[in-house]
Amino acid sequence: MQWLYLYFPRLQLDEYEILQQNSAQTVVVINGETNTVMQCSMAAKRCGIKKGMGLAEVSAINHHTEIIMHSPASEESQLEHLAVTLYSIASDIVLCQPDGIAINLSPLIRYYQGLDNFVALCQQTLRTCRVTYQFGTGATIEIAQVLAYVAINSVKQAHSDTQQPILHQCPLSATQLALKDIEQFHRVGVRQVGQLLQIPLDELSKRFTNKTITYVLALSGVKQPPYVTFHPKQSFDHYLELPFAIEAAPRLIRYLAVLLRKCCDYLHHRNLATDSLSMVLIQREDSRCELTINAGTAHQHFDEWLSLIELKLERLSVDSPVTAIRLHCDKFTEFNPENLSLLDTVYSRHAENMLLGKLLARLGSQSTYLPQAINDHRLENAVSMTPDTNAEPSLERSSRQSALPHSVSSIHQPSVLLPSPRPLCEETQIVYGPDRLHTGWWDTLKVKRDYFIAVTPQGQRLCVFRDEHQHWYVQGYFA
Amino acid sequence: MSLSLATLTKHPLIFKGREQPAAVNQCRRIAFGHEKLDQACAGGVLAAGLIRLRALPGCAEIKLIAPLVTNKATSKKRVLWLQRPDLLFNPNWLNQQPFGQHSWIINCNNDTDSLWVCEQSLRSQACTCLILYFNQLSIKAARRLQVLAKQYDCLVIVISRPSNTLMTLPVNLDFELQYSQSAWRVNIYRVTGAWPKSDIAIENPLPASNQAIVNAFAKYANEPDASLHQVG
Repeated sequence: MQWLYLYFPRLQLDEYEILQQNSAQTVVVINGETNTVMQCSMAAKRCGIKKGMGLAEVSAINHHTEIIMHSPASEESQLEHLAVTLYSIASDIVLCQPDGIAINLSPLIRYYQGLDNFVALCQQTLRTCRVTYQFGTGATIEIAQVLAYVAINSVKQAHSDTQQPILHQCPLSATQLALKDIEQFHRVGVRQVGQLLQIPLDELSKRFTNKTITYVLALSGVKQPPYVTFHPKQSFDHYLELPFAIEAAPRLIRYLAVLLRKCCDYLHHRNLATDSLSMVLIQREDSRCELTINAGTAHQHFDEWLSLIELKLERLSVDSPVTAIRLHCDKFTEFNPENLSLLDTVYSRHAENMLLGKLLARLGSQSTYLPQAINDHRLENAVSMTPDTNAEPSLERSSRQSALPHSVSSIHQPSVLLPSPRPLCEETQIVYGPDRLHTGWWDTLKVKRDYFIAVTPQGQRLCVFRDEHQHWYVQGYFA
Repeated sequence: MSLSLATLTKHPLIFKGREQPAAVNQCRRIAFGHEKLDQACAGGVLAAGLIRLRALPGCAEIKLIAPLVTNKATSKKRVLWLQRPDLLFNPNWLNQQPFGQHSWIINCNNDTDSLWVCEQSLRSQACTCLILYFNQLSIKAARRLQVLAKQYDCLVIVISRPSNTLMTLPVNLDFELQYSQSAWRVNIYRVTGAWPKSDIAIENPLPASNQAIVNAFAKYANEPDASLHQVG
């Protein structure tokens, strides 16, 4: 068996540079617990900043250095996304948290008719992801991992004559041995993998744990420890740590666009579509703002989704700065585009649903509805009992509505209503009425009214009523 | 570059698919159903574009434009009713109309929202008619709506109060519904394809009246012996 190990030494920094679209900045990623440098940009390296340096030392070397706190969650999410991307070209993938991916090459050699073909494809895929990586190959994941850590960056046949000397020259710091064990080996003069592998196992087992022995066996290529292969989740979930806290919600769009692009690619590759995206804005003090964005129809178009998110963010105000965002999507349908003729003028349900999505996003989920007959004589209820259209496909509602009876009210229906009845103050003449309405005794809105049609000197036709206290009100217009 | 493109796009043998529906409807007119008014409008209102009706709420202004909406609704696209918080369209009434099945009611909180909805709806090509109460439509907004409505074959009907509508707008039809001297009249201030005309008398009956009862009382008031109902 042969394994390819891909090591990503600066995942968070790569993502930062993609977001900022600037790789010339002096940026370092700092471990929040030890205050030491974990990742540094090319500009930082040129200034003399190295991994493991303290924060004070970094500031002394270059006080303009931009500092980002290390975010394991962001790197984990990014690594998983890389694995999902590679899953389209390779089957047996092992996720090696926090910064590596192993790929079993044995079945791929025949499939791609050669190792070099696959490696070239893999490199091309990683280039499109714009990540920095090192790689190595070996008979076990552990051997490939050590060779990737020392940036061998070449593919060698397992157990080949050239691979063994290179592995043997690797320092113990490139292995996954515990620091305590490495120190112990250093004390007895063992500094390279080759020296370690020459020690008899019996001797090692007297001084080291079973875990170390298992690791050494894997390094020698004798036995591959068990591993769990990666299977992509049936949902899209991506977490992104922002380079700095953002207070204005509309400014988040730039970062959400990055996640959205990944989500749309995910849907596109699987021929899926969605009509609902969930967004979590993680704020300082660990507060969260959860949002759901609904489209009128299930689709996978980046531009359409981006405009819906923009509309949502335009109206959103966050109470504390946002430090990270998460995009989640688990409601999928198979993407089935309408096959419309270019010159056809037929009614497009898709266009209608896209419009509905925009209206709901900008004006709110209760903003758009189909006029439905309300089974109640009271005109107030015609206004207040508007149907719930919360992202429900409009055409389904239409078919359901047709099953409803038409208005049962015997009162002449005015076409325009006032939000609430206002006292009748103007001069009017009654031209029709009364229509007696005595209803609602079963609920709190008991109504006992005489309805009339009244005309003003300007010709306006008012829907007026007189209540049981002989007070007159205007409730609508016959427009 | 733009000159060469213009030469290309104006070539009579080059067919632009996107503009096809609008081009067909450029000259189509929809009648109001009032003979004198239709004559004054050269046969009716153009099927695509912006029209403005100046009327007070409750002057049967929607009844006047209902034939236009019914005609447009036959395309099976949506008819959008943009309502303001102070004037709400009655869903019960709308549901009883022939275009009720194709209608959407949209709540707009302010004028900006209304204009945004108009633009988005027109561009979506999902709607065929838009009706909104809008008092102070600026020339710029009217021009935008007019161009979009023509391009996407949609009829936009703006209803404004007469007192707020002194400015001339680039619209297909600008007319006023007025009640004076116990009669309904229409004044046309601007119309495509014809000259403005005033005092066009139209029939505008009430939705219901007690006239039958009043007539009966008037008829039998002077004949006490011939009562309508014999009791006992």
